[in-house]
Amino acid sequence: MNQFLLRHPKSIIGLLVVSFVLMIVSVSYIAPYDPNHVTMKERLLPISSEHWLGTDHLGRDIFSRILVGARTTVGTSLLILMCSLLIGIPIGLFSGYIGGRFDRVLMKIVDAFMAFPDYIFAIVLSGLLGPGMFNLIFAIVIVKWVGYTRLVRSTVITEKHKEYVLLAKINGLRSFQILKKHMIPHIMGNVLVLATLDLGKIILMIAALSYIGLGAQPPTAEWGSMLNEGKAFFYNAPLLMVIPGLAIMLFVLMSNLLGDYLRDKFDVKSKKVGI
Amino acid sequence: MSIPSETVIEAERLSKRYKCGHLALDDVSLTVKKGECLGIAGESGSGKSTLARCLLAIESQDIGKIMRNGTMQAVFQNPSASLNPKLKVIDSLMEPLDGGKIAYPSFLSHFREDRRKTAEFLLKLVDIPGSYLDAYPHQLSGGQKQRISIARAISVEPSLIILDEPTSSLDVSVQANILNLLKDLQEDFGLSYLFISHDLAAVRFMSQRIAIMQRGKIVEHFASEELFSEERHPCTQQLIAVFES
Amino acid sequence: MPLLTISNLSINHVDSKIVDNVNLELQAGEWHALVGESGSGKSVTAFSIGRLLPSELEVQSGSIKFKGTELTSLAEKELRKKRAKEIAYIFQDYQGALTPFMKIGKQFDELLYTHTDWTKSERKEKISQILHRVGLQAERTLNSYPFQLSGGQVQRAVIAMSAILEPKLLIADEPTTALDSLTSGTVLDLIQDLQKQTNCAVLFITHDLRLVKKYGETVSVMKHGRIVEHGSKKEIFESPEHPYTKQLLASVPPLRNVPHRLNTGYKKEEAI
Repeated sequence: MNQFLLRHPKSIIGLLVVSFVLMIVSVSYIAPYDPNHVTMKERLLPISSEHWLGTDHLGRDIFSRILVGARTTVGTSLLILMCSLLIGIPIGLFSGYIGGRFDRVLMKIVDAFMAFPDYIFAIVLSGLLGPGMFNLIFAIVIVKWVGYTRLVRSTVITEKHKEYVLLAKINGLRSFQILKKHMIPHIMGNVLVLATLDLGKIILMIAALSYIGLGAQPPTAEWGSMLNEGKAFFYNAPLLMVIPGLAIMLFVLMSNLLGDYLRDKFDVKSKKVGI
Repeated sequence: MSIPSETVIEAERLSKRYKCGHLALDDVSLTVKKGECLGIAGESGSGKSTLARCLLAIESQDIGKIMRNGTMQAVFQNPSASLNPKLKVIDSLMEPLDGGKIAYPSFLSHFREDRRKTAEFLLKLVDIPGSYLDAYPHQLSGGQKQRISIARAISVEPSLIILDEPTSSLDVSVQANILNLLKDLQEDFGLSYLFISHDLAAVRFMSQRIAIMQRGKIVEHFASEELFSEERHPCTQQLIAVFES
Repeated sequence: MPLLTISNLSINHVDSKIVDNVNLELQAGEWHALVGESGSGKSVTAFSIGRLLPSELEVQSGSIKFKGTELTSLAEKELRKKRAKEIAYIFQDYQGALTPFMKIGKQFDELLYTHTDWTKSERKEKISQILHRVGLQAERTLNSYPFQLSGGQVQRAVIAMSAILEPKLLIADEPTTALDSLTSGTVLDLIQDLQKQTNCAVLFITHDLRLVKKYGETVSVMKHGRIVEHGSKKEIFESPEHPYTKQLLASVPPLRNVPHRLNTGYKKEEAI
């Protein structure tokens, strides 16, 4: 194990990310204070041994809110990712494999989605649907699934004419079996890489939407809405913005590094050794 | 619609035109008898591969009919594309039998229920050590991959194996070994082949009868020994001239 | 003096020898076939002549003399001149040899403009002449983009382009591997015509002995980076000495006197 880590320094990053997620998810149950408990006497306290990261404008413990907020932010982004994968992958598989008119119509829809910058689209959509976590999830999933559909479809289109697929047809495998046995192993690597890179973007998007008031609603602890609430006190108590900002930055950084690492890892097989 | 039992496939007056207007098959008829090898030679673009695909029912002809007696298998030109790079050798090799639709043929019947032993035996038939079952295709050479494709094709004891340029992308000595292997297997199992290649010498080596294709047509069709007969079509003579100075 | 002399050439990839102490001599106007299977080092040897080796391959020792000039230590600028005018290459990938977005006429003209001091009309004359020689309609070809020509026409144009400066040495690296046997014949016939007209030497790299039988004059057989046998075509085909040459010859199915099995020296259960 140690040798493995030494040879693959980037895997340390992966381990860090996993332990980071595990930590925040489990620690949220042992947060030192009730994250929503308002104590006006203790508002805007600096860092101390009682309040490790100080308190906010309503006297709530920032450390506890960051921990609990991690659950909202990370949990929500994982949920969004899941939904995007569950919608995007099957559509990409079928669209690429079946081809023809079905594929053309679908790709027009996908193109239409992709024509808009994803932030604008998500903002407009959740603006129309109204603020709230559920609408936010819905809006981001609508923006994100198309990327997976495109990726999966292009892989399927290059692979489906290869001889091994013809042979599978000759051997009587049905389309569904061919997709399952032959196509899914091909797309999983790429999808995993895109998903880890996307995780960071989704968190940023949740935070951004919450920051402008479209996502998590007070008093829910969420990193983006914490930023939003803190902005009025930035000059007096910059910690209110710096701490959630740092939390977001760290998580995005780690998920990107994990994505890079996975990309390298999945590339190894395709690299030709020698000449 | 029935064909004599000693015939494994009979194609009658096949024609196919692609959407782009290219006439890929033009009134092609052929018959393969049990236990024989029919060779089809011709330059690239002569319609050989389209014919193979129609016979395998991967593509459909516009006109004409094909009558098949039993199962078909195929071995294609590019050994790397014939095995899914993400699957272990055993999973590609056992695909025809894994489906459960085709019963284990008699030569494999004593391995019944034991997938791994069956796979090992199949590899042994094509001279590949059983330890390769868990390898991935990228760990194998082109010749080894082609051997595995052949093992896969014979695993269901098909009534016909269509060999579409099975040696064209291999090194000369590997080509020769594969040709020998195909011939040995044909004798051991009484297989019927349709051997398609642009290489007239390989076709001549493998086949009892040869058909020459040009621009979608079978221009002539003769017993192998008559290759040097004076009545040969100019197209055949051209193919011969490439090798004879 | 021989046109090309390769002596004791060794080329390494990290620690493994790709080319191992190769000696080769080519006279002016000679057609020499360098025969070997994949991994034999034949293409690497061909690449090293024009110093086209990829960076991870390195000439360990030996010399390559072209008309008495040492190529391994020649300045890059001098070498580039030689490479276009005196040493020409033809590769397997014909489509890749032409720039897709430039008319063929312009590509020919630029080549001549860079390497000769001919006037515009002289260049045009020369281009028409060579295209005619390879059996292409000059006007139509010159005004076409590569994708407007058929595969066979592109092959001809590419061969014309390598021959237009009348090189002294034409290195054809597997020029027929991707082609079917009829087209292979046409391409090699074409190279042979040009060789006869301009008296250039041809280094023909191939794995197909049947083509050598028809087109070579002298032959070297390469295996694992070494030249195992070398001699005239007659010697190689009629009295091969090295077991590997014999094995290669026996691997090729003949058209007449077809044996029941090909004697490749391959034994069952042997390391494959």
